Amino acid sequence: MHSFSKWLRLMKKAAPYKNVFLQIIDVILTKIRVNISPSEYYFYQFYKGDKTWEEKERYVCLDGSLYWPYDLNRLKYNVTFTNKYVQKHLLTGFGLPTPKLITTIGHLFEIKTPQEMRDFLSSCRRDIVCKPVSSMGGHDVLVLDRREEGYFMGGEEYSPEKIWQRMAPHMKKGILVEEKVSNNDQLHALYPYSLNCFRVVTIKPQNQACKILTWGLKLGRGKSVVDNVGAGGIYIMLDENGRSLIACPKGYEEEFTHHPDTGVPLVGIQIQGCEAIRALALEASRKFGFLGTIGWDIGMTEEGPVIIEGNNLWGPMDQKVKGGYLTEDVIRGLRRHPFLSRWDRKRMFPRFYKKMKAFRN
Amino acid sequence: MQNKIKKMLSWMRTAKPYRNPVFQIFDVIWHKLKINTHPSDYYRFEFYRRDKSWEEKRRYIGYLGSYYWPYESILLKDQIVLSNKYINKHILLGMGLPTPELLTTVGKEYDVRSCEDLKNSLGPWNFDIVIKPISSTGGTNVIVLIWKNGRFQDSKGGVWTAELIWERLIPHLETGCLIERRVFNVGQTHKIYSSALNTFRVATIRTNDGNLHVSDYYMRIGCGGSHVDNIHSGGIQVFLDDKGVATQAFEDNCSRSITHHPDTGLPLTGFQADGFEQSIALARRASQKFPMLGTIGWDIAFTDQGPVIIEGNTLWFAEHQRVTGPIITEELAKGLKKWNAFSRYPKDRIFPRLQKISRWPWRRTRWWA
Repeated sequence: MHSFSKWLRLMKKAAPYKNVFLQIIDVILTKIRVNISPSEYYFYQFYKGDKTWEEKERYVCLDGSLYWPYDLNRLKYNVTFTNKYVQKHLLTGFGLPTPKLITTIGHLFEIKTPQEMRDFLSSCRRDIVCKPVSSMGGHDVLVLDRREEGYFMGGEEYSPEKIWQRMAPHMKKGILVEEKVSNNDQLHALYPYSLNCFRVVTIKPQNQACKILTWGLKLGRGKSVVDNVGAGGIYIMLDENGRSLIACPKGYEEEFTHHPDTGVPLVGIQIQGCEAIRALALEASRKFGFLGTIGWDIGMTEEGPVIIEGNNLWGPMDQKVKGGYLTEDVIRGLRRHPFLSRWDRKRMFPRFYKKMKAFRN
Repeated sequence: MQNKIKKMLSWMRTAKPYRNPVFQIFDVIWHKLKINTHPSDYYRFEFYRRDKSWEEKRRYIGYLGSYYWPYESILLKDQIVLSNKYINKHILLGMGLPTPELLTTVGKEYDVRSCEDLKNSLGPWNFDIVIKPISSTGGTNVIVLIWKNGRFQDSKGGVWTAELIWERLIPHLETGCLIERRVFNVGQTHKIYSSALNTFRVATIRTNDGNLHVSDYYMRIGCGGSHVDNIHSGGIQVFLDDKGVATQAFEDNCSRSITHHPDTGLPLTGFQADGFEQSIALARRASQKFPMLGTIGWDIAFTDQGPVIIEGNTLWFAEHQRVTGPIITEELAKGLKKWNAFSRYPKDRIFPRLQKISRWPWRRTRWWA
């Protein structure tokens, strides 16, 4: 019932551009011609009729599209990114810059009991970040600042018992405790409460060199300690030279010229060190050569760029404003997936994590 | 099919002095029903001999399924961590575990992509190197090159130029190869056989209560001029007591007992294996770093730099049980899941016949392969 009302709402919103009957026909036609699902038809506002079929073909949609770059990634390598513990050690093993792993918490990890946790926290003298090994979208991440009296997050004190309690649901899969890294002055001024990361998406189409598909900057909002757009953050589109173009929240319904919390201008600024960030993303993708496309979260510190994490199923952030990501060049190195075609089950395919038992959490 | 029948008949003939063929068939079925032993394991472990109790037979681990099958604790999605040598190597480095130095990687998507790149990489190296395909098993296609008189040579004295190496690597360029610095054994292990790196195979099993157990250990020693110690490449298995003293040795995959090394003539029993305790400690430490893998078979070499991990294996199998007895101890048995003839192995975990390609086209996708 909820879903029915959602569709009605979407159709009502599209009604000024196309009547309901034509919308239904258009949705079906879009699915048949460019293999894009109805929900993405409405999200990208294809009903407006301002895009050609060729333009629509260039959109990357998580639920499936004519060209689906994620199928460059083989399923067997999925764990190298979905398990943050494995990923962290691989990044370290490859010699890529990443925040230092201090310890691990969990039934089968280094810290196993509340007493060990207390001992660790009393001896640790630095700011830390606690991240569940298998969390997504910044959920349950604790960013703890060390003060004389103890650990604090957002002005609230976190006792060892409270941290243990917050981490308890993740004990089976484990929690990473990393050193906290800080933004450089420029990014700190934009939003000081979270580590604002760059999202750099790299792709290596068949028989082509690895390249950057898109990139942007994520900022936290509303005193959030994470920058994830799904957690209320802001995404800033950047041009190739690192100049900010447009800043939007999730859904891209509004645009910001200034940060709503800090009041700092967000559009037209030149990002410092953008070359180093892009170079690091390409270098990291080369090391993870067994994967075809990766969305890197890279933090820029005073010491240079550091990789916070990589995502092999990255969400297209700004296509709604920017248009389809895929260029003609990239398309040449991707497989076509017409409507009703069979997906290769050895590679990622739409909703594989729901359809295959091995990938259900 | 014909081969299978021939093999089965040859097994039955071997077992005939102990049990007549009709009783063998009943016994095979009874073993499957009672302790989930596969027919091939019934003959492999010589269960027809009537010298073992049911309790004892239950504790054998069979390749094709058994009453206790510790590999099922590994999720299929996690096995890539060890099955791909490139990932295995870098994760070991990332965890700070000792492993031979990785010099470079060769392949279409790796550091060295052409013969010219390879020539440039080889230039500054004036030490022995080991070239390993990323997806090889059992020591196949491993090349060991010795730096002698300013050039790379094999153990027979043949000179290996960059072009020749490249030619040999061409079939592996798609999956890639690792080039590592060669490490050497020390002490008695080195004296017994020096052409190969002789390693300890140490298997650990994590029981359901989370405790880690060292379940199996033995030493592998190369033989017949081979530069690898793998059993399937002619390696010798030397079994050790809990102090690391060699008690018995077998060649040809535990088919023949031997007392002296065929090449060097040195005794294979009664000597103290160098670095035994350090290697066992390293296996424990390494397994603790891989909490997502319930069982791992580590290949550890004791070198002049101390114990180093050559690689880890999720699917280690212990053929030697037929001469040394079952691996699963009573303590381990208490913490492991029991499988009967009719239980279904979960398909998101390692299951028997993982490598087998289904006869049904719709079940042929093995995404983990």
